[in-house]
Amino acid sequence: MTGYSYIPLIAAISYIPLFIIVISSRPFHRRHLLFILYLASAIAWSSTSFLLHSSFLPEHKMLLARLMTVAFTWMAVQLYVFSRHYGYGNYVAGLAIGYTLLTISIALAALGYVPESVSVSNGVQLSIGPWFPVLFVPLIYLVVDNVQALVRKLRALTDQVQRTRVTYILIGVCLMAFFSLSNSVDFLRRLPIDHFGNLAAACVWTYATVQHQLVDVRSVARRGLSWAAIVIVAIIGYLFLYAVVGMATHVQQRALVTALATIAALIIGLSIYQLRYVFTRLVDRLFYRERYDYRQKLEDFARNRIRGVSNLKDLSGKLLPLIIGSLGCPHAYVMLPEKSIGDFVVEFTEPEPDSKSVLRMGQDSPVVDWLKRENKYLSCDKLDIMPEFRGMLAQEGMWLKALNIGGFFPIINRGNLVGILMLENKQSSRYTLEDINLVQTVMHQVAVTMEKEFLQEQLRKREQELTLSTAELQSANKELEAFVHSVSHDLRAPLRGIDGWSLALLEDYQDKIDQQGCQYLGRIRTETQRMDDLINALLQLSRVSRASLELKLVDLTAMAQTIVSRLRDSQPDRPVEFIIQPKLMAQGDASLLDIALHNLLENAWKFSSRCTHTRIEFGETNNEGDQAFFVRDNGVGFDMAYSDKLFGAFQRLHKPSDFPGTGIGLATVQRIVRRHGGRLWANAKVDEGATFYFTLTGAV
Amino acid sequence: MNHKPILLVEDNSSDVLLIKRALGKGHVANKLLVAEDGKEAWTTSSVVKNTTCLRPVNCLHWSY
Repeated sequence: MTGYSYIPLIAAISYIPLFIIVISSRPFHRRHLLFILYLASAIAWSSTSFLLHSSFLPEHKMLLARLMTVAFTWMAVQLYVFSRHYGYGNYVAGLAIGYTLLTISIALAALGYVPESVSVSNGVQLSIGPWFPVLFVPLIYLVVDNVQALVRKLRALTDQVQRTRVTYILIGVCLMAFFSLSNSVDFLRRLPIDHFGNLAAACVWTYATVQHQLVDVRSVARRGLSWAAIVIVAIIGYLFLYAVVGMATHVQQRALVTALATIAALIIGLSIYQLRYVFTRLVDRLFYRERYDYRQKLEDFARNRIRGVSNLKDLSGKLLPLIIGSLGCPHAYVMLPEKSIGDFVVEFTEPEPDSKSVLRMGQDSPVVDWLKRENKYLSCDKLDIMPEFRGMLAQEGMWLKALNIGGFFPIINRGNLVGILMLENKQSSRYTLEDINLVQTVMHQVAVTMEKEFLQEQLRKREQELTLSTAELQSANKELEAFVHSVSHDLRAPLRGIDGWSLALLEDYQDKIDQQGCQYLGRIRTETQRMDDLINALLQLSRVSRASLELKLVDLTAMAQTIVSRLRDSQPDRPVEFIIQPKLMAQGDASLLDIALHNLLENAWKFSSRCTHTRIEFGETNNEGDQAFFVRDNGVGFDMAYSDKLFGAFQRLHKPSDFPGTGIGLATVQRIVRRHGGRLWANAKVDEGATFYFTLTGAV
Repeated sequence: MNHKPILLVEDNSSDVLLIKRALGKGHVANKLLVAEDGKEAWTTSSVVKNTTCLRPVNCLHWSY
């Protein structure tokens, strides 16, 4: 056993922090899974290699050599899959080749062809034998394809952060490939030189992760410690159970005891699954010490108590102390836009500064633009790296340096940047990914709360408006009723007087007024009657609009027959043929439908008065699937060109001398039909009669 | 012939006159008491002795 055999062990151990970082990172992406698979394979390779080169298990060297060969192939394929993911273009062929290679190597190792022989006399000596090219050539292809794709991607990328990430991956892949080449030489294969590559790649990637994803070693250690605690407690518990089961059953067979203990451990483990939170909490408290309580408070605040706080000012006052406490940052600032110009100025500082900060950030500053666009944490490190921040004013940069600002969190509300939270750099360490995630979650919660508040405010406003307009509507309705009363009562009183006194003149002074005078008085009386009719029709129209609907099933046939008999009574000598379809039923308000039907039938009666043989129909038809009723006559009809004027109040298509009327009847029918959620339309031709259709789909 | 007085509640003087004229033409000789509103009608009717309240007559067809 030489010192070389420790190289794989160190490589395996150096991967463990990375493994912990990736497995505990949230949110968990596909690339995390790929990276975990790679790490697992690398750890498997290094540990089998360590066992092979060490003095442990001397009688199983052949098995270890086989396992190591398979693990190496697996590692190579997983590295390809993981790193190629960042490269350019698709890689279906590479995947196929990689997994075929893995299958072949497993088969060869299982059948004992690879490796051919192992000797441990003078260091471990592996001989792969004639199958070497079968494994080696595809690996070369994978490496070349991978490097080429990564280089192409690197050329195409402009984002500095992504470029850095791809560069690190490329460096790791090249290191691995370079050191793995040593496997092709028999002499070098004796020493685990290739694990230098593994070790180097592990170091590069750990560095990259720590440097650029802001994971600090403390959080890794913290997670690792809590897991280690769980594992240790589990092992102790298991051994304890094992002993207990062994003693309790007095069984000599170890297999049975093992099985029973395992089952018991599983049951207990599942039932106290929550125990892991206890460990996590204990370790967290150990690490964060006084900051732990602040973190808990901050999380609690973001989750529960944030709702009661509506405006940004209250919120800043309550949040800033908690944020400072939980992150351990010296100063935190909230910048709000100035009302007049819109530039961001510092409004709140925690803790209270001795002098008011002069920092001011223009609303067109690249930092403001970036925060608005990306809606996530902006580290001040990026200000130096990314080209888009070169346009920043030198003054702003100086202020940021003077205040030692570490980063910015945007506060977004309804797509607008309404505030910026700035944190001063910590004195001793950097902000970790966890710190940033914590603040980001809180800020997200703030945004959601503000959105909610906004919507509720909006709702309140609408409700107020609605209440107001309802009140207005009610008062308008009252005014209308007063107006209707005044029209019906006050306007008619003088009318009654005119009619009455005209009659008095006619009766009392007939002998003193000549015949023409009497005729004039007669005209006065007819005109007053006509005006009274008009007022009546208007009142009916307004009543029809205001009356509340009482819906029930109405027998339209019976209704039509009553109306028809009234019409017949008014002119008993007129021969009119009525065709009324039996059993017409509809859902509606009986009194309103009576008014509507009366108006329609009366119109038919009136406008067909000059026919020699009048025929009036009332029936039901089908209008595009809806039930429609119609009233048809063979009277004078009208020109369809004027049909748009048909349903307006005081609109008449015929001269009053031809057919008397108020011009309000169809307007009333229209309103009644509309209030029933239906439609009224007509079809007519001059001198060939008219048909009026209406539907009653249901009351509105 | 009944000699009970007739109570007319009407605030329109023109209507009152027309009614008086109509009653005269119809040779209705009963005394006509005129009140302009309900309150006055109540006091007027309580002054007249032996008032039995008949059903109110709405003599005009001008219904609201």
